[in-house]
Order: sequence, then C-alpha cells, then structure tokens
Amino acid sequence: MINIALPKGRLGDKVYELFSSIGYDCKSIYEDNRKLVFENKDNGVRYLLIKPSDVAIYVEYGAADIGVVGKDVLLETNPDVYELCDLNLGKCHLCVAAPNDYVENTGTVLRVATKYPNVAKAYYRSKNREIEIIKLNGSIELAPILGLSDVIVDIVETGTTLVENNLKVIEKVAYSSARFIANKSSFKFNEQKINLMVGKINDKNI
Amino acid sequence: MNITLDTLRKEEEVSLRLRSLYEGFGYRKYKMAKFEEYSFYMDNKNFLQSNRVIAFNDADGRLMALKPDVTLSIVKNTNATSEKCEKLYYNENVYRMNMQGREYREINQTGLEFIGSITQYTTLEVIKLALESLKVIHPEYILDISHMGYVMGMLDSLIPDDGLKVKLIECIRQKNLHELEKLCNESEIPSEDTEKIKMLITLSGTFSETLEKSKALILNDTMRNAISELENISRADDGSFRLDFSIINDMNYYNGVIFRGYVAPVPKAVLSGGRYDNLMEKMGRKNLNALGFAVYFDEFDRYFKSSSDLKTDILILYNENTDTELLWSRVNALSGKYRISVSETIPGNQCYSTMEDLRK
Repeated sequence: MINIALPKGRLGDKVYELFSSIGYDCKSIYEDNRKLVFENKDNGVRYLLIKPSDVAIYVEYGAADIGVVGKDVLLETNPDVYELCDLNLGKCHLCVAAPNDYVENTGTVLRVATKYPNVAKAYYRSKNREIEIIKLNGSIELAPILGLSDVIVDIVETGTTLVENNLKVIEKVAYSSARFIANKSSFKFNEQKINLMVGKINDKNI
Repeated sequence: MNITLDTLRKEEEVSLRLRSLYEGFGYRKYKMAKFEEYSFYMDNKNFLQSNRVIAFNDADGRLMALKPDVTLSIVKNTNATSEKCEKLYYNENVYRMNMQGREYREINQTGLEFIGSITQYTTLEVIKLALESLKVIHPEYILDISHMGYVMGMLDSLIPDDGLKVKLIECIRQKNLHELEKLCNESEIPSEDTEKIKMLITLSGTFSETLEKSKALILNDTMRNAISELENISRADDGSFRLDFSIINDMNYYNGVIFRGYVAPVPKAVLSGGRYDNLMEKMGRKNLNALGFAVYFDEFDRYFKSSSDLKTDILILYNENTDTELLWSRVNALSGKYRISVSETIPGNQCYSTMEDLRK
C-alpha cells in the first residue's frame, strides 16, 4: 500500500484526476466529502487529503510515502525529500508586489509582509538588503494598502487579485508549480512502484 | 533470563548487540567528555548537520558546548599514526536540533571509526560492520552506497562554475531531474553533458548491475578509481546493497565511499557514514585516512513498539488484612518467572494479563 498525500482543494482535485487517469483511481474519494483518507485495495493506493502547507511534513516524517506539493512550500520549508517530477500544474510565481504608486526608499529598512518568511529572507539576503518580516497567514494584499508593510512576497497566478487591490508585481522571486515528492526511506523500499508512477506521469505530461 | 532481554527497549537491545558486534572485530570502546569548546564547533560547523549547539560558560569563563557530534572530537584527539591505526566505537548522547529545528533533543548515538591507513580490506570490514549493524536493527534493510570521487569527478570535469556546481549537487540530492535540466540549459551546458549528469540521478538500483552501467560514464581517473573501489566493496554485498549517486556529503570533509542505511519501519536513514580523509587533513593529520559510521537511535521507540511495553503478567492485589507471609511466598514463587506487580490498588498506567486478589 502506497500512502499519497494530496493537497486539499483545487490543486488536489487536478492531481487526483491525473493520478486516476494513469491507473491509480479511488472512486470513494467522490462519495464522502468529510473523510480525509480514501483507500483502493485493488491498485494499492491510499489517498490522504492534507492542508497544502503540511503535505511536505507528512512525507518527510514518513506518514505518507509520496505527495504532491507546490514548489513554493518546498522552497519555504526545505524538507529532506526527493523531488521526483514537475507535474506542470498549479503554475505560479513567487513575487514581490507593491502598491501601483510605490517607489522604494532604499535608505530605510524594508518592511515585507508574507506567508513565506524564509523565502523572503533568503531573497533579500541575496540582494544584501535589510528587511523586517511580518509573517501573515492570509489576505497578504491588505498589508501594503493599510501601511502595515512596504511590499509583500506572495504567490501570483493570474495577477487578478493584485490588480483588484491596486497592487503590481515589482520583482519575480521564483517559479512554482506542483511537484511530486517522496520520502527517502519509502523510496528505497518501493523504488519500482514509485518509479513506475513517475514514468507514467512523465509520459502523460509530454 | 528471557524476561530481562524482553524488558529492554529496542534502543537498548540494539546498543548491546552492536557493542558485541564491534568488540568482536577488535574495536574498542571510547568514552568521551560531555563538553567541548564552542569555538571548535564553529570552526567546523559545515561538518555538523546544524550549526546550532547548546553553549554555556564553564567555571573558568570559557564558552563551552554540549557535544552535537562525536566524530569531530575523536578525530581531534586521535593518537593514530600511519603505522599505528586506531579502531574504536562509541556510544554517546549528542545534543542537536530536531528535524523541524524548533527544539534541542538528546540523541543516543553509536558509531564506529577506523583511523590509520585504509586498505581494501579495512574498507570491506567497515562496510560489512555497517551491514551487520542494520541487520541487528531490522530484517528488512538497505545499504545505499555512493562515491564522492565518482560524483565530484564528473561535476569537476563538466561544470567549471562552482556556484552552479553547488546548485546541481542540491538537485542530485533531491533526484530532481527537471530542475537540473533547467539550470543546465540556463547556463548553456552542452546537452550531451547535461545528459551525463542526469544519468547520475537515474543511475540507482541493485549494486552490481548499476555498477556495470556506471562504467559507461567514466570521464577521468578520479571516476575510474572510484569504480574500482566500489568493485572491491561489492564483495560484501548480500543483496541489500544499492548504488545511488544521489548521496553526496560535504566535499570539504568526505572523499571516497559514502553510505546510508535504511530499515523498513523508519522513515529516514538510521545509519550514515563514509570516508573522511579530507576532515583529517583539515585537522592537520594529512597522512591519516579515516572511515566510519554512526547509527542513530533517536526515534527507535516510536517505530519499534515493544510488545512488553506497559505490560504486567500478574497483578497481585492485597490490603491491610492480607497475611504478609502468604503474600511474600506468592511473590517469591512468581517473581523471576513472570512480570509481576504488587499493589494495594490497580495501578493506572499498566495493563495486566491476570490478577491475583489476596485482599480479605
């Protein structure tokens, strides 16, 4: 039995469709919307529905053998796992964004609001810029509007949310998309099964 | 004496068996001091998995640290010379950050080091002991083997830019083909070279078969030597060896063969080791070779649940009216054969199989 950690939500639905189309379906996933574990004994898979930012933790600690997670989360948490392929789903960029009329005052400490403190710190360290991080958990776009921060570092998919809040992208930090990850120990003991899965995904993606 | 052995926790049992295994091959136990000067670790922080150590001032005002690692201390204090080798093992507590990096943990660790001049035979012996150590832990095990010379030999000859090399090493560690390809394309590495580096990641599998395949990629003498060293090691293969070049340790310390051991119930490596001549050189012992490994016990209790945990065979209950003579004779009759617990009330934290009620 292979435990697969899927991110709950839109991305998870797309990933499940992909996995189901290459022979790892699990019909019960459509039946009950409250359950978090779905199992198909015939093809030996068990899906776990997990908050996207926790998927990598489940895989790193071996509670799930493999999982699908955004590169943004991997960059932020840097878990010790194998990143076996790019699913080319949930594509977005981690960006620095600011109000439309923003001009950076390089003479002061830059205040950055973000859900990704580690990514933001590493990015500005590489530019040797002194910053102050404000860690938020949602509605990041609000921070610069209310003067809580100068800029934000967040994921931007289409840019609509930014436009609606009078914000613009000023720098791109990193590209992100859904990645297929595996626990290192589980990979050793299930290498054939997992490689077969990766092979099928790669064939489908081309 | 079965009861005594059953009572041992997995960690204790493994520790005892490893001791007899290592002593059986002539390794001697080395007991170390608990502290080391803080600056010593800061000078060698890349060797440690994390540079966070517990520091405090000793009576003389010197800044000291609780040991986060044992190998460094052993290397620093070794009496070995190229004529006189040192074979030792240790069982020590080390203090490190946990995986999430939130708090310090005390980790019990056993390890084995060979310091002196290393021959084909010594390499084989240490690998064999690593393999036997895994067997002691669990019957389902894998020893993953790689060679710094093979990986660095390829990267050094194909990638001139050190910054790019560091990024590519990170990709190889994660078996991350897509990111590696992107980086190589951006840096305009010729596509046939990129393919060779990608092969490093895909080359993984049963030892002898993969070793044959990896011969096709040899570019220079460093890689050729690596392959012949790996061929020597294959003598110890019992079918659980796997060649996997995604294991890459810090090249400032490690050279030559490196390896990691996994057992099925534990989701991370339980054994890790390799050849670290470069560390010896850094410590000013240029003429010495060293090879060793450590076994990590820290989470065994979580993954190997002992059947005897919290379990009592016979619970004997008594009260103030019970004849002490009778109670004493029952206790003497049963203890040694069974796990017993004598109490006036039923203890809250124990399960028991049968109960003998001597209350009146």
